[in-house]
Amino acid sequence: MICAIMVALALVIVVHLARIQVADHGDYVDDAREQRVRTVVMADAPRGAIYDRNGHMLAGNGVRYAVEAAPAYVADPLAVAEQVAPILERPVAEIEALLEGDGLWVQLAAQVSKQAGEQIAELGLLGIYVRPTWVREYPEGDLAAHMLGFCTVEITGYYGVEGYYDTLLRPETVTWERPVDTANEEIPWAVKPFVMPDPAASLVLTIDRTMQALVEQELMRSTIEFGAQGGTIIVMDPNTFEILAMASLPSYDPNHYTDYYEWGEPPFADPAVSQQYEPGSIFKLITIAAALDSRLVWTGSTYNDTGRIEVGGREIRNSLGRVPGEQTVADIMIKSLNVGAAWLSTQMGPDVFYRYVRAFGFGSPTGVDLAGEAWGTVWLPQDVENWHDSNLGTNAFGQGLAVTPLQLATALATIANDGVRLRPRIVAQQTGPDGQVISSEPAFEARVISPETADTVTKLMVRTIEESVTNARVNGYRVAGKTGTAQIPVPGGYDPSGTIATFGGFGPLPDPQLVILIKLDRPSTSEWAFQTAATSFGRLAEQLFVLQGIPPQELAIAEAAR
Amino acid sequence: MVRGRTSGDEKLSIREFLSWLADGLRRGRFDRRPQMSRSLILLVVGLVAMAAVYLTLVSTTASTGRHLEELQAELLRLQRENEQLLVDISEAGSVTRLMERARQLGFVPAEELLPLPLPQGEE
Repeated sequence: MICAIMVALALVIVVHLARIQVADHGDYVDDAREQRVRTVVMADAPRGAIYDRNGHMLAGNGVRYAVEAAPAYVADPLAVAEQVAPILERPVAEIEALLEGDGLWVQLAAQVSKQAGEQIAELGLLGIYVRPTWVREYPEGDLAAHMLGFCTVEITGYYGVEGYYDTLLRPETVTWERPVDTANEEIPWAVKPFVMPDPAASLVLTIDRTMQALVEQELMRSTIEFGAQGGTIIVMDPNTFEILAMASLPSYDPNHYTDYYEWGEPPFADPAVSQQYEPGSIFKLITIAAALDSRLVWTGSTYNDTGRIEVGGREIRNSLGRVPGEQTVADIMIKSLNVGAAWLSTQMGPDVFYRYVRAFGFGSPTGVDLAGEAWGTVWLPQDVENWHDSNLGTNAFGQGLAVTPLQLATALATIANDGVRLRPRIVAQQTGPDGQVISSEPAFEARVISPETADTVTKLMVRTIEESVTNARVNGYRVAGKTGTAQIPVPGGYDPSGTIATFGGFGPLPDPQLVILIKLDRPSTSEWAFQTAATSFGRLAEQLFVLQGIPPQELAIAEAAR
Repeated sequence: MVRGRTSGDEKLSIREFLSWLADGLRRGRFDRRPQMSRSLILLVVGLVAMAAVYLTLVSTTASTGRHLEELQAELLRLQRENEQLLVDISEAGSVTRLMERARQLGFVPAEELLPLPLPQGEE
């Protein structure tokens, strides 16, 4: 009996030992390791910097200090508080209360200036610790804010380039597990390895800060002058599809992004890529390009415009109730005739029309390297739940579908680039942690229309400016463009109280260097784009051509003749 | 162990100790096998020498490590300083600052631009 009890007890002990040494082996090893070593951050590299195309810094790293305390080591909390509080610009009582608390470790200030941090460190107070931390800084203030995005206190990027390239820009943090004694103090003879963290990758953007500043000035001027609630301007190089400048209002200062949390909807998302809207008549460019490229018509083809056409059971009318009679395809563009555009799309049929719409890049992201890009909305006949037969007619003049400003700018650049669509891009160059430089190359997306069609559409756009939208003319330069005055959809119909005015164009011809898209939200001085956005286009284009060193037409001809 | 010395508080100088040791060895006072004693003493001396070398090395390594640590801390401090200066320089040369300074100096944005074609050779 006793023997059996002894054996049973021995078995219990053996089982227990097996559990400790085999089953829970890993846990005990971890526990022992936790007691034996402590992980400390040895070096924290700065986040990768961001520059404009000419090397001007757009995002860098500043130094701040975190002020912390171990209350147990603070002998006289009041005396210490009296010295520290004025530097931190906080009440003495508040600091004293923190120092008298029960916590082992308290933070007195998360981020104080370099001067304040150094001042406190120089006091040499027992139990007060000053630790340097990085803070993201944007030396140009709110310039290009939407494109850049911002970084939180934790140095995590959101929106824009900061959000899109967050992983790449993140620095390496070097930690070291050092042996400690029973009091958690470092063992003195354990020599730390000498390790410097690899720097994070830095980025060079395609934007030009001077051009960006001019664009932002013009956008601000236009919103005030035309009483708009906001707007967007995009400037692209049609030869490379590089974004040279892009601005939207309302904007924000990424250095003080927390100030905008009070807004109902903080203006962090970039409307140029994240906000989609019905573009209106500027979309006739796509309809006419498709009709010409599919050889359905030529610019002189005529139709009888009775001022109305029925598509899918819905009546479509020209703006201002115009009944122009016999018109050419060129007139559809120059006079911006809704009926003519709907006539063209119905003649093409949905298969052909939407093939071109998709080829121009509508209904899918452009693939630009910016965070939060919207897809736009283009319903196809196979989208049974959302499709209506009238879409074929309304889509032809930019109603019933939604696009982002960048998709429109990309479509314009495609026409300016002889019908070839590339992927728009914002990063020109990456410098990796090893110093290796990777330059981004133009990425081919699609041959959308033939060079001949692109040339024909361009000529129609030139005529549009010269014969119809004279506000967009640029003295000394030939430019091409098209307006779009779009109604704003609301539940149950369209908002009668406002429009979105768009003007898109490029120039100078015959070798366009810049594509400019201007969008103004709800301008109050006039609902028509030819009186608002077109004016902004003319002013801005002139400044940008000069900035780019492009001589006026007469000078260019004279130079060519030399 | 040291005969002839009566007070435990008195300390032998190294010279006295070595002289006493040599005398003892010569007279064979410690052991009847002086060769074995010599070997033992040599072993002890060797061990002491090794310990001294080891301690010196550890001490040097620790102090060099501390120095390296200080240098690394200084390097990181300079790196932070450098980053901050880069930002400060960029701020000082930002578009807003330049425009402000230009306005202070009396410059105004050009309203009308008049390109002047130059005759050949006068660029």
